[in-house]
Amino acid sequence: MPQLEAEADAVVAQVIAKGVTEDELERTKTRLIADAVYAQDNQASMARWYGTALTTGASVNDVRHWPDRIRAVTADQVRDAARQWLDKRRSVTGYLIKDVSPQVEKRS
Amino acid sequence: MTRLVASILCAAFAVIAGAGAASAMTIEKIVSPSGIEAWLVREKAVPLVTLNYAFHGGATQDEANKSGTANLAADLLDEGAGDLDGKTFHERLESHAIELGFQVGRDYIHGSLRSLNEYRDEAFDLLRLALSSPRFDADAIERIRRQELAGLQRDTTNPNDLASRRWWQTAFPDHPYGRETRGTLETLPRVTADDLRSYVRRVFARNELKISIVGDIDARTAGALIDRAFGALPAKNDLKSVANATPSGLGRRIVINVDVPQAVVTFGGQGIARQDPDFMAAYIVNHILGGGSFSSRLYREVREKRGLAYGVSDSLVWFRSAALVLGGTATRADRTADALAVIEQEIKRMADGGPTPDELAAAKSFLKGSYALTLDTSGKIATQLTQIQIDNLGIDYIQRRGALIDAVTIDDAKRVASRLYGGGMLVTVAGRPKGLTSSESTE
Repeated sequence: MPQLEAEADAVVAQVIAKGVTEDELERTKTRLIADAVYAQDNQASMARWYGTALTTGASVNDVRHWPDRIRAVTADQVRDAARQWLDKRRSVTGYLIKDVSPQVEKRS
Repeated sequence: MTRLVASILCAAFAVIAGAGAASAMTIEKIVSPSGIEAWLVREKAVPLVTLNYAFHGGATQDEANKSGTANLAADLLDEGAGDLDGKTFHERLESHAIELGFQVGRDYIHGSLRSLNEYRDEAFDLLRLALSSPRFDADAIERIRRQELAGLQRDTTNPNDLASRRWWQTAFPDHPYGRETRGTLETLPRVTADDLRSYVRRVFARNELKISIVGDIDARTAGALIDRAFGALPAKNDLKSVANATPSGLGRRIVINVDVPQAVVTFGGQGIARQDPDFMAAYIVNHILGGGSFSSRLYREVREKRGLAYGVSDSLVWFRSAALVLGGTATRADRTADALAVIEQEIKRMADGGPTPDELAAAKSFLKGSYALTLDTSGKIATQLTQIQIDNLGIDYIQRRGALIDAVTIDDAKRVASRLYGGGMLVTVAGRPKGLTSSESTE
């Protein structure tokens, strides 16, 4: 488990230090833009897409132009965002471990 | 009338959503230059193409002592093909956002493909490689086999799997349908690369291939893509025949002891063939008894009135060589016997008296109105079209379906209810159900 965590941290550190490759960036953009197209193929996910945007302060235009904005992202921007936001001090890690405490039945 | 209302509603959805997946659709039969037939729905709203197809020859083609062969082969089709090793193949899919999937059933292996229009040539090329030259590299086989074995190991303590597996083994002893599609901890290690190659060689052929395409694509382009992916496959498959079968063990109850707080119940009996003239009546009657809705008799009696289970349902299941009615529930160990008694009582009440005219009318209305809602993505439409082809229902089935439902009378429903539920059920229970034992000694 500690090894897994260290490996994950190393990947984050690598992105912060060196950013991402053009290949990785292009692949990710393609996937994100494809997700937007695929979402239009499903009325429920389309509604959710717009609903989530509108209830969190974005506009219909933001959703419409989202693929263009994804397309415009540069590798430097990704690295800068990683530096700003992927800060270990604000991270939370959850562990699913074998329970050793007495069982209490809970009802929802 | 209801069908008309349904299609108008869907058209409205389509306009609002900007997606036309469920709007009134035209299904076109096309033939590729090399002579492969497919059904096509042109849907111009979204720039993508969705493909669904099925080859006859699923897990029934496994050797009895090597069950899981077809499933393992399907798992490995995208783990390296042609010149591309598994990693490269996955990168090619991912970098073009191409979604490629394979699923093995008892009678068929199903495949799906979804791609943006701009990458569809690449998508169909990768599909051709996966179908005609999968590599089955030794390291890939072992990696995927370990994954499958880990899953099978988990299943040995999963009451759902225990109840279900025992049901199938008991219902179809010495028949391919009795074997688990994913194989077992004993059979899967025996499967060799040659077995996987042999499966692909025997099954992936053009003669019993059903193809459906939905998307922003014209007939000519679709035909060319079909040939690109399937054109080089052998003309004819080489399948082991599968005997017709009826489920055994009806009237038996088998309890599998496993230390879990909830008991899982699987029940089922003889169903009705898809081509049987009474199929639609049976479909409606089963919907009233235990179809997925919150108003079925089983749901009302087991859950709503008595709180014995969170869910309970049953459905018609049909194969090429057998037909079943199959259902299940999960209950508290100390109330399993009660739940089972209620289920058996409701099955008998339906067999004896059939549905009421009100229930029949409500079920008809629901089944007609909800159908379009199940066809709300191009993937679901393509899957349904492939199933309609497999079931040989005709290209106009979606148009005819409403009238077929309307034609079912209360007398039909009563007659079919007696036929469907009068024959007894095989019941398997996995857990520690209090006061419930096997009807004959097992473990």
